Amino acid sequence: VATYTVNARGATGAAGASAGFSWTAKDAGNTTTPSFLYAWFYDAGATLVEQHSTIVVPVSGTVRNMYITCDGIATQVVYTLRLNGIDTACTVTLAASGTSANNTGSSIAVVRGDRLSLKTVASAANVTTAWLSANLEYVTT
Amino acid sequence: MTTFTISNTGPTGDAGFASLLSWRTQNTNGVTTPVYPQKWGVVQPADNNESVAKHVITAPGTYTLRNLIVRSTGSTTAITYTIRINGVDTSITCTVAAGVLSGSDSTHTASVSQGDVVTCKMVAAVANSGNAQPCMFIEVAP
Repeated sequence: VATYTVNARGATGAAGASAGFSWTAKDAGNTTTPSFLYAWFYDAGATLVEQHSTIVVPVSGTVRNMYITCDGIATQVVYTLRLNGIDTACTVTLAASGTSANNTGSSIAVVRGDRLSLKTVASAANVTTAWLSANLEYVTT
Repeated sequence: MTTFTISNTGPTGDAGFASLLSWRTQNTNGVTTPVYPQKWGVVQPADNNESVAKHVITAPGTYTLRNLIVRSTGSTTAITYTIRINGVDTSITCTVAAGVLSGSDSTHTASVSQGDVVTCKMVAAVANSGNAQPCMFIEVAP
């Protein structure tokens, strides 16, 4: 006698939420060469050391919806999300004296262990103290 | 003889994970007017300029905020903490009495939409420059 039992699959659980990742610095760096915002928060100007900007992804997912907030600096700054040290398509250009901008059109797939960093390039040298902040949504899969 | 049994649908899967927003500061900066701590935060004094980029967290998605928890090293005065969205107080608030190390609001919630600006406001009952070093955490839920 053979007995077979088939259990129907349960419903998918509710979606999670993530406020994502954040980077901050208190100026855009003193050169027009690439600089990096600090992961989460640090009381210093943008750094030339990308490692200080690194956030390691804990589980696979997607990062998207980058929002930039700035106190307004005298030069244009281009913000670029980097994945494992390489520029992604997720960029935001904030004009001189601008205070906010965003990119809601780029989604970047990430896997566990990937390294994210946030690069800035100013159009002109700028060391005026003006806080810069980036927030990025992170949705797991 | 062969018997097949098909059971009812299994249980619903676990809900996805939630995450946190956080602010931290060194003290209330000696005033009784509202001040604002740093997001995520290195320990610095709070200041009264809410819109500075070091204070604000711009929501990259649409969520519910709930379960505010405050931890402090103890202040010499009561301090009231309030979560704000786009510069407006929400109902999420808690007051930590003088000398008390923690407080929470697990009752109130607030909806936040993509692009909203979230800050945390602090108001001391009396002028206070003590080094209370509070940190504030709030759950981000689907």
